[in-house]
Amino acid sequence: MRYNLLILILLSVVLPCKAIEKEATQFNSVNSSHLFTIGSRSTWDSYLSPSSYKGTNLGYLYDQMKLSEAHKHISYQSLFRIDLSKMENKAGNGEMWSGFLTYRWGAHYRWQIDPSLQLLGGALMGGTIGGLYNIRNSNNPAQAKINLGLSLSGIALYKVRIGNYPIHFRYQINLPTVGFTFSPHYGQSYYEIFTLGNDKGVYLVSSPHNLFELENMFSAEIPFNCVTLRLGFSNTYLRSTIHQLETQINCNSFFIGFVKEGLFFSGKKRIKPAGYHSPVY
Amino acid sequence: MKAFRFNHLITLLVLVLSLCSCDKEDEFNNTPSGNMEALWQIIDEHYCFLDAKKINWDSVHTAFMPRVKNVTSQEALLHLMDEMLDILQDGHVNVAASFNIARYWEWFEAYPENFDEKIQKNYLKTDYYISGGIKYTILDDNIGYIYYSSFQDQTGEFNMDHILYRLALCRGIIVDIRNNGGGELTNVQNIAASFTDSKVLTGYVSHKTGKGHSDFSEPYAKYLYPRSSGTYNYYKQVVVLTNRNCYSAANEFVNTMMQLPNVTIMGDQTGGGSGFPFSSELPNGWTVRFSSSLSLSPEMKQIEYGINPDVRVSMTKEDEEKGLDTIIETARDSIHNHYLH
Repeated sequence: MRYNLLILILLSVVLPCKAIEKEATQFNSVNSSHLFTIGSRSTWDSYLSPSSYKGTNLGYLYDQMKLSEAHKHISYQSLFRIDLSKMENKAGNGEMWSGFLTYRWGAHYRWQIDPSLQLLGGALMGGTIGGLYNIRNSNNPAQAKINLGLSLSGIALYKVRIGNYPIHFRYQINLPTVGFTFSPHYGQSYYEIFTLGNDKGVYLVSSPHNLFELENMFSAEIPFNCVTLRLGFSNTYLRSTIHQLETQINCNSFFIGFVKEGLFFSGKKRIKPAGYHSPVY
Repeated sequence: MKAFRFNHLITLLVLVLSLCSCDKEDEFNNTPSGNMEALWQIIDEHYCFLDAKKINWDSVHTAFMPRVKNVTSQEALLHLMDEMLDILQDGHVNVAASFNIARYWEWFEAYPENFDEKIQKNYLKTDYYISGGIKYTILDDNIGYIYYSSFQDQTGEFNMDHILYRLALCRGIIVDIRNNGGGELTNVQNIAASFTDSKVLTGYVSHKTGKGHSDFSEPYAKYLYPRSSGTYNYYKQVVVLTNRNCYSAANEFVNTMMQLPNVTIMGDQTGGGSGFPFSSELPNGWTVRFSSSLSLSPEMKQIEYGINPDVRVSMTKEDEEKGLDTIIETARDSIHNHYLH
């Protein structure tokens, strides 16, 4: 009895190790980019003003992609973005600020069209929270923007060699489809919603019929001796008509940053591949 | 083949980016007529009292737009806008330029002031207390006197605790809000809640739901809630003093207080201003303020043009010459008489 128990314990230890060994033969690295964006933003929000505002946008974008260990045609992506803008009206005597935080996570299916071109299609969950702040307004100074839901996403990866430089071009488009959004009614104050508690109809389902969003990102990755630069252009566009309130926000930014590709180990499941030397593990 | 595909990708990219890079263009130009049209449209689509005040806003357009061609200066343009907006008879409607503010102040300028700060000093004297935005003292006949000049001045539960602790043994309290032009509605709740021990319906709010003059939401009930236990409340006689210069949040305070059984409103009619003002702007950057949603009494009646007091009292010349405030004196008598009957 004691002998059988010992074998059982041994098997329970050895079998998972075998499984890990089998999995460990293939390591999928993580590709992550830290990017700094600068560009222009134009905003028109009829709750705040009938005039459009334009100004400078500064931001940070983190983009991470990782191949699935379970399926070689699947990859995961995380996108995190912070944007801050200062804008002014055409007359130059009105100021508006905006701040947005975007996070999307999801998966893509990958098609290898030929050795140079891959096309990815999938979906991302997440959204944007933030708001607009018009300094001159008294009881309607701000408009919150909360758009959460599911986006369709497509990526094209193209690699080309120019001289000694293997350059990777990347184009991504995200199209939010259905989700939830927030909007006060036409002449409703935030005081009525949050202090008096009349929040009927302010949280509602969004789809392109009332809220159309589009994110485009085009970039090129250029490797140098010790760093891979990624530079490109990004456009985010939002147009909504909810409760007869209209919003149009357009942001065009150039970005530059660096790309890292590597293996990450952490937690109890960490795997140390052969030939890898860690200063800690 | 590769180049062909790559070209297709670039074409697609340019197409998508050009589709979404179009910015919204402003509807009106920064010209006298563009600014005037913009102002007319803001009121047409957003102002909440056009139907209630039976104003034919289209005829206003017909009357005023031809006059814009005679405008030759910024001041003349603001003057014309002022004239057009006066039709609304609303103190919440303004156009603010850098050199002047177009305004309608007839709701108090056309009436007796019924308040004299110099005479008020005879009651406050010099040793009065101040908590938050409230000045307070105990009068010689053991009546508490509170003066609150602006609902912009933050006054919270903590301030009311201190005030009512000191006035707890008074026979009654006079809450004087004469010349209070309004401010924040949260202060209305903070102060009024000290005088009730139960939830009270104080009125309704209704906001515009669209551009049409009669597009309004279902009225939404507003309540005054008693303060949490452990705080100082006052349930004896309270007299609220009013004049024509009580506007906006002060008007709402009177509407709230008059729903309480132990409260008497005394003085002159309030100035009104039941609209909740929003801001907008013209193409030249001038700020426009207008009433966007309205507040109704518990009987669902308009209080835009003011609230009548329970006891109408005006300051008399004779009393003023003696340094007496007729309205304060009548309020004192009213509190004392309450205990006699």
